[in-house]
Amino acid sequence: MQFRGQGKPSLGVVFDSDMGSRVETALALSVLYGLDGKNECRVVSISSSRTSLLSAAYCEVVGRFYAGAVSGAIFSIGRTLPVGLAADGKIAGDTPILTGPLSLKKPDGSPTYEHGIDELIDTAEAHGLIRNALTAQHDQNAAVVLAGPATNLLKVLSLPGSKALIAAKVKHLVCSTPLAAKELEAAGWPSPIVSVSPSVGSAVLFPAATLEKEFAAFPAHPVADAFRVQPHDAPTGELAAVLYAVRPADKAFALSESVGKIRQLLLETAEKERLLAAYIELATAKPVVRQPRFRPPAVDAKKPDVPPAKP
Amino acid sequence: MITKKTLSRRTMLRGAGAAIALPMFDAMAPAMNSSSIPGKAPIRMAFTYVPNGLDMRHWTPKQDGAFVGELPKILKPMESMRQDMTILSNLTQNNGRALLDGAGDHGRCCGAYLTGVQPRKSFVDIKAGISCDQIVANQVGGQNRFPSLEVGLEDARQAGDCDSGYSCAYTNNLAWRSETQPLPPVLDPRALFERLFGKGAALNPEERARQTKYRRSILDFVTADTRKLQGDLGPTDRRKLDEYLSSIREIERQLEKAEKDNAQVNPGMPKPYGVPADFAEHFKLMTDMITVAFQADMSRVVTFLVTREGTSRPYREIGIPDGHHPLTHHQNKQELLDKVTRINEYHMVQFAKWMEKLKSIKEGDSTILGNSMIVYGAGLSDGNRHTHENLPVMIVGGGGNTIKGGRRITYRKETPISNLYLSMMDRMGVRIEHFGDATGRIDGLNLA
Repeated sequence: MQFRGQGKPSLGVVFDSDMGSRVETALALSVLYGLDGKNECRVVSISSSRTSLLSAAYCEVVGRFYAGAVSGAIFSIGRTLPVGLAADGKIAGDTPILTGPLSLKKPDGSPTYEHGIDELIDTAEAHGLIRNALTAQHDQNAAVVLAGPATNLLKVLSLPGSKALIAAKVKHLVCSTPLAAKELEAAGWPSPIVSVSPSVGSAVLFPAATLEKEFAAFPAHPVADAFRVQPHDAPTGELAAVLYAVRPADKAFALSESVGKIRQLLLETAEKERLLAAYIELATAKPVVRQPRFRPPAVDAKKPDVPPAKP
Repeated sequence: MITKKTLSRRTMLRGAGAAIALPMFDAMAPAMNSSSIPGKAPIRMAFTYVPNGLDMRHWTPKQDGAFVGELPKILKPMESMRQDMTILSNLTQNNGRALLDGAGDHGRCCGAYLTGVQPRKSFVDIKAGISCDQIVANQVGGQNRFPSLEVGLEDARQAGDCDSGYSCAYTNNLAWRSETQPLPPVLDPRALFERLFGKGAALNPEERARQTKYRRSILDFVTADTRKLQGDLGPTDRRKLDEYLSSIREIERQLEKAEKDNAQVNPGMPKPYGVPADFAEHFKLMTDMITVAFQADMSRVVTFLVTREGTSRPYREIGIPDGHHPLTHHQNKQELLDKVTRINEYHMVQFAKWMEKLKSIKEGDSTILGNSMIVYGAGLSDGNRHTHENLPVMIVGGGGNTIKGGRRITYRKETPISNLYLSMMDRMGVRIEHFGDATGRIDGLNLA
């Protein structure tokens, strides 16, 4: 929720993915929450095109892990956003990335990561959720990150009035795959589209060694636990999509000339080390409970704004 | 061999200054007793709106599917109609939310409720959208004397700032004929009566008092027509006619009583002449007239704003002198919460009586209720936190044998309430592709 008269809030980010297909997606989501915790953006919508309840459940688990930082809505502290889920496609199998962390138990036998998604009704229609999230953003103050197929975003485009809404609100759409970018361009996605070049992901690998270093500081971390299922140095194309969406001026990135509406996201080789450090710092950042944006109460004239200094 | 004499559906009892539409008689169906033909009776649609959200702890049945065991506290008055009602959970009005417009949830939630759009934040330059009831009224209302009826119980101004910069036009109306034209509810029972049965514009109190002194029943003006009609009807229809005319006479008696009481009591505030001092009586009078309007097919579309959104009306009649709105900001204090629940129950008691009446009136093989879709709900769910998701929504009636009741259906989170309206419009014979923020139609309502 944003209020006029408070100045423009940080960028609102819609994150749509096929969570559970690759660990890279979970790492990208943690980078996004890391940026949210630094107040560089606000996560305003999370959805999955992977037709699997566990995919949505995992998204919620990550959201709860960062609870308090996930939404600027009033009274949202401790509450997570509803998770959007595509429900009309072929049922997708559950992958170890999802079943691994979600099946972990505490010593007392209760789940390590609680979530509230047991049935389809515990999720939201992804396209309606994304549309609604955009309605609450200032003009040109939203970005959409797509880390997976274009299923949900194509459905957003089918809603009446959505193209005008996207044109007004969305600064850019950043897709982690060229195929999705092309599909959305063909369907008339109205904002600028950036497609992460495949070389970007393979040029910088997120080290599995972070599990023994940075992630080791957490007693339980849902992204680390997904990573632990198959530890490997993971490609970072989806992390680049997130980081570029929020920090388009970062010197690590460059854009190609546009082909149609699409520009390719390229990497400045000299910035690789700094980029990797940024990924690690953001993905392993501690959750930050952000105070909700709320109209400040009227100042009570009888009370001084600042307590008097102690003598 | 066809032997039955048929009667036009538009037959009326006429007399000096009076015209009384009639309910559907068997004799109005085509020859050979077609009253049993399914779908012959008209389908009606009504929206009953209560303000300030509800105490959701006592609204939502514990589990999905068929109702099991006791109904929640607020719904208990509907016990005798548990098979006729469906609770719809998780429906949301996104356009009632702040989005970018800051405070003013009461103004927004009511303005958005049936329009499905975000009302413009202004108290001079109002703008919302055409409400779903008016879309139906525009398309099928031409068949009826009144394409729609707008009814309310609380005297409310139409201009000025009623909520943080939102015009009173948003909090005090449900129906919108156009983006900029709300349709204010009729509050005065006498005005509604005269609208339905003739007599023209409202009179000033002095003239009304003079006329009241000599007033005869409106039925007296149509005696000749009534006698003639009775001769043309079979025994079942004759009984139906007697019951119908008795219900009109009963409304007249209630009106006369209210007016007599009002002449003796100074309410201490501007108030329409015929409004009963007692809330329950007022509720009954207005809903009795809506019932007659449905019965005689004078109108098929009704919006009923029980009290205006954000109202601070006290309920002294049930021992609650506190304002409704302040009470809903209860901060989870038990004493205040209990009072909110009691107000919610009180509203439901009145509503249940109306539903029982609709259910008691036979129509073909069904009842008026069986051929209706009456939505009961609010534009906020939790009035304390001003939440716009998981709104309290109940649909009562069979929608012409198309809706299966007796259960709770939970939809996916954030499902637009506009989806419900699209499904209702379908049943009214109005098929449109887009409405408000709808993403489609809701499923699960059907009989199957």
